[in-house]
Amino acid sequence: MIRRFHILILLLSINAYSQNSILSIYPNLGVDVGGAIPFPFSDIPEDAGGTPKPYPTLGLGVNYEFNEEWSLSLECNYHLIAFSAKATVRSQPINNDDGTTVLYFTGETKADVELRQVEFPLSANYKVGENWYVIFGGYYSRILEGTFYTEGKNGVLSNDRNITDNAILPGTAPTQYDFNDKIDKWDAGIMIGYRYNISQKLFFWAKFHVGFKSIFQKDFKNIDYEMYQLRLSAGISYKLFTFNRSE
Amino acid sequence: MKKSAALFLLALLAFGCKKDDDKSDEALILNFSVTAIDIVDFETRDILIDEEKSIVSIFSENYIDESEIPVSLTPSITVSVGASISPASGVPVTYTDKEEVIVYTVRAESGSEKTWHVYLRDNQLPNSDFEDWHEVTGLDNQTFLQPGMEEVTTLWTTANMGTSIYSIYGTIPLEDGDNTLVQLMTEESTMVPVNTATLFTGEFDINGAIQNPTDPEQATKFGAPFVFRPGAVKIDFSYQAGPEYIRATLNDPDNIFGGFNVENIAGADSCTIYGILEYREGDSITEIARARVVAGDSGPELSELIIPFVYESSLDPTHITIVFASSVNGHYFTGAVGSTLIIDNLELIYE
Repeated sequence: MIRRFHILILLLSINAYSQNSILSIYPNLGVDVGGAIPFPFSDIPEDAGGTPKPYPTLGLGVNYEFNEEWSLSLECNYHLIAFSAKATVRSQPINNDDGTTVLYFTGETKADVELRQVEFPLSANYKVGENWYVIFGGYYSRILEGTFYTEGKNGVLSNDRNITDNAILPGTAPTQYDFNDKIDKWDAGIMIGYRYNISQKLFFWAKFHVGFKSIFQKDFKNIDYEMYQLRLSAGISYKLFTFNRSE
Repeated sequence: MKKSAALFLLALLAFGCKKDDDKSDEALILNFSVTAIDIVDFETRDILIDEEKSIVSIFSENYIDESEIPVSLTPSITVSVGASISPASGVPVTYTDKEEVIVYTVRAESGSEKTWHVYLRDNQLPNSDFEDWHEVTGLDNQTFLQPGMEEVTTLWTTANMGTSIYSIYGTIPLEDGDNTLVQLMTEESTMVPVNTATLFTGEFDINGAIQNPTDPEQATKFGAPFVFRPGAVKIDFSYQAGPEYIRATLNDPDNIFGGFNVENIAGADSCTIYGILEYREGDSITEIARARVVAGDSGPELSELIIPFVYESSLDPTHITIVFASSVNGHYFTGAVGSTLIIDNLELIYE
């Protein structure tokens, strides 16, 4: 047991000051801020507003250096992306599970959204300064759990779309519905950011993620627009293990 | 030394001053009594103060005849410490209609205000002839009629607010010459195969309906203040069952959006009429008596129905619930579309 501990210490301290490391493994600790935005932007309701809820992100990454300037990173990170959004909607369909629309809602809505996901980002890093790197790449996320809960108020609720289309607000109807079952199981997109080496082992990073697909399933028709992930994550990583080029 | 003393005095003053935040928000009517009333032989049976609903109900021991209206009443009112009331205690108020409710405003010490409604009641229920109806706006922004003179004061309500999202109003006034009857009809909506029409004393809780769409009973808050022990409920009624008796079962018991499995079942639809007398104290409810009938098709003509209360307690009630429903098992989405219950002239009998 003591011998194993010594080996671990040895591994941790190996090449602490090496300039030739080619492979490194590092844990990530950061924070996500963001959520999902309607697309196309012209479909964003006029009075819409969103409030992201920052949550920590945790993960593990591996970095492979091709040369002094270029390297490639693959990570596995857990994210909780949470945000709330307010908007006045008009004739928001409320569907039966078979997809038939049974009601329409016009009024003020507040949506609380949470996406728990494991993300696999693959990025290229290009050195642009003494300790600075530009990061660009893509990601694939597996959505473990998604909730999209909406409360409506001061509205008009009817099975007749003519009524909700022409409703004069404020109305008296409250409503609540969720699209939990309509959140897709995966997401993919691109990311761009930068990295700053604080020391040989510790580096800071910030990345901007943009989803390339709607967070909803393809057959989701309750809202007229699609919603794409858009978020900023920032944090630090520490190279726990590094392996020399000579190895 | 002088400087220290001045600082000490300043500190005392600072701590001694009562901040506005400390002022009480309590705007309760703690006690209400009748000191004068221009009804001959008026005797107060009881006065109930409902803090939750901000209601005061003055119960006359004797029936108040329409001929005695308008009635001038002078109350003595005690409100929360630091609060004031308008009209003030001791100022006469006048009931110009038997169904009228006097509005009082209690202003708390902090300046916040609370509206109280004071009812003058006797041993019958207000609007028990169902002649008074008022207009309200449904969830679909369309207007419909509800029983009673005003939305905020009526003791009667229906499920119309809930079904207004389908533009369905199962409970409606039915003009018959100078008389107004009530028609309750079970209907079908785009979402729910069986929507039972109801009329009851209490409140329809739209938030309860929205939050529990698979459980219609969650939308009802039954009961109105009442202190007498009637022997029976008397009502003029007719009932015609709809042609197709069906049971709609939720595919997913917890999900109204999962749809229904609809099946025809043997037999015919029935209506129900029932009354419950209760003693309520805080969250504790003791049932005192119940009168209930389940009636099948009686034909189109109105007939008189007397439903006796069966007493199980010697307590005096604080609340009465009277319910009319066009399909007895409507809360289980079972009934016949078109089943029609017509009622008029509710009376509580005391012999």
